[in-house]
Amino acid sequence: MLETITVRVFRGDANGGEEKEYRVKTFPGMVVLDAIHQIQAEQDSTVACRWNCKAAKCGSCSAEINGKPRLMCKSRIEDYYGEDGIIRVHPLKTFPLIKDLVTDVSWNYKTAEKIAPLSVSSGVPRPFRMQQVDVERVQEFRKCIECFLCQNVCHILRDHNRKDGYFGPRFMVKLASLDMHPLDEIDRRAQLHSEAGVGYCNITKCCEELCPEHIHITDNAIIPLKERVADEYYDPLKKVIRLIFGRNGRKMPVSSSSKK
Amino acid sequence: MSSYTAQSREPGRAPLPMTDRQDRWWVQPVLIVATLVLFGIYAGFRAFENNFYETRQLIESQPGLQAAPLYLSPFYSPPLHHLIASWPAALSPALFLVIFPLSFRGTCYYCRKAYYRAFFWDPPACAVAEIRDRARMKYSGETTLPFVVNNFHRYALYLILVYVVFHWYHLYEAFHYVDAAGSVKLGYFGLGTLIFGLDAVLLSLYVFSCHSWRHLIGGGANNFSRSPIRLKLWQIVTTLNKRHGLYFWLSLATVGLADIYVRLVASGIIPDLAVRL
Repeated sequence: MLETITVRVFRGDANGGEEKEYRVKTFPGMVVLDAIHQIQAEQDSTVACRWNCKAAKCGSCSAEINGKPRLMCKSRIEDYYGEDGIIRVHPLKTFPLIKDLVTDVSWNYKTAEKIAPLSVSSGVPRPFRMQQVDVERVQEFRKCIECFLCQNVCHILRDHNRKDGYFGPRFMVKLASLDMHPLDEIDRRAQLHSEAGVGYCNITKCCEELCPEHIHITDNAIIPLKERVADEYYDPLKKVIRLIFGRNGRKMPVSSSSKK
Repeated sequence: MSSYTAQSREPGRAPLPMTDRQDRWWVQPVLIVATLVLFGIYAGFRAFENNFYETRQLIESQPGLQAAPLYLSPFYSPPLHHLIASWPAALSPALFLVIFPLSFRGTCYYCRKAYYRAFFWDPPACAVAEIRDRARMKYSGETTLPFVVNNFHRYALYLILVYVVFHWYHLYEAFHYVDAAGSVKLGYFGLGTLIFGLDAVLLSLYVFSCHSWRHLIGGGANNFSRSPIRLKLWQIVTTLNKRHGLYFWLSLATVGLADIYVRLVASGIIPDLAVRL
């Protein structure tokens, strides 16, 4: 392990900026967030970064390390510096920059408000009793720490900037956790098909590849949701079956206006 | 060190260069393009060739041969030229038959990832910007033509199931041979039989690990406790599904290998390595 490394940190705001170089002393087990903290403490207290738990559970310290979206607190420095001993740390590129490594992720919270919460009939006795096999699938989705790395790497939001048409992988996971919930009474397919824009996803799986919680975002959430939407909108055979036999206990759809 | 100005397409966003990644992110797309293009060229050549796709006629064309295996190239399966008596000899059945495996693979969720990344660079790799200035184009993903047809993947699945049955039937046939008198007998095991076995197994693993199959078999349910059989089936398919991409490539390789082997044997370039029981 090198005794000192060079950390190039993006310094700037909405008007632009540039990389600034800092020499940092290393220690065993050091992560990129340690390096940023060392810079703040010893060299430049004006470097802005968002962090909280330093345990990969709060999802605050998302950044791009050598171009790869990562949690700074979970990224060992030796995995990132090469022979030149340089690590580059940049802010998330999908959201508006506030300062240095801090971006404005509030679009995500506004998007979350468009999703109706779990809706259970008043006739279902409280507390809810569910079989483990029924909730096991959605428990995976509950691991999400909302670091928004998946939102950041999703090319629909990042490159195409289609925040007007697609909720992003984080909220596909959220919708999957609700639509697959055994007690939820809302059919979310209409919202998925229209406002949430599941059809925009072209399954390139970057969200799944970098999820720090290892949630199988594409395989277990987005693709099953696409298939559920296909049941409703792209399967003439199922449509005929529904016409003959009715909805057969299926949840009833709600319009996308009643989300709060 | 680079300096940037903020992006114009959305005020205040951090700069979006091609990529800051320093690893060899381009290797995977290049390998995928090379493999699929080579396979496509070979498959096209074989489909138009309309020859050397079965080995049973070797007993007539090679005097002195004691046994000819009953191999049929997977590119020419199901054997329309046998099933439809009036099939014109000049028309290669493979040109028609290729449509269905192509539609299954083309709409496959794994393959979509592969070709969107490798061929369309949409994106070429994670956190690597797309080359074209797509800010001017309204991205619509799989909501409009042509890619909206990917939503009909399950129909391609229904059709490919017929092919899977035929691949197993061809494996069964590969245990047979035609003797010098022209009668078909059981009790043959050749290198081709082994390749056909691999092909049938890997194609089945690929098809039955399909995401649409996983949904249809049980993934659409929310109350597994009420349908334990669906749960069990869904769990099995889920286990297979984790290696769907691997099965995609392996089954593609064995289909190609089976055809190459049949061509080599049928054209007399190599004899079939076999034992008769």
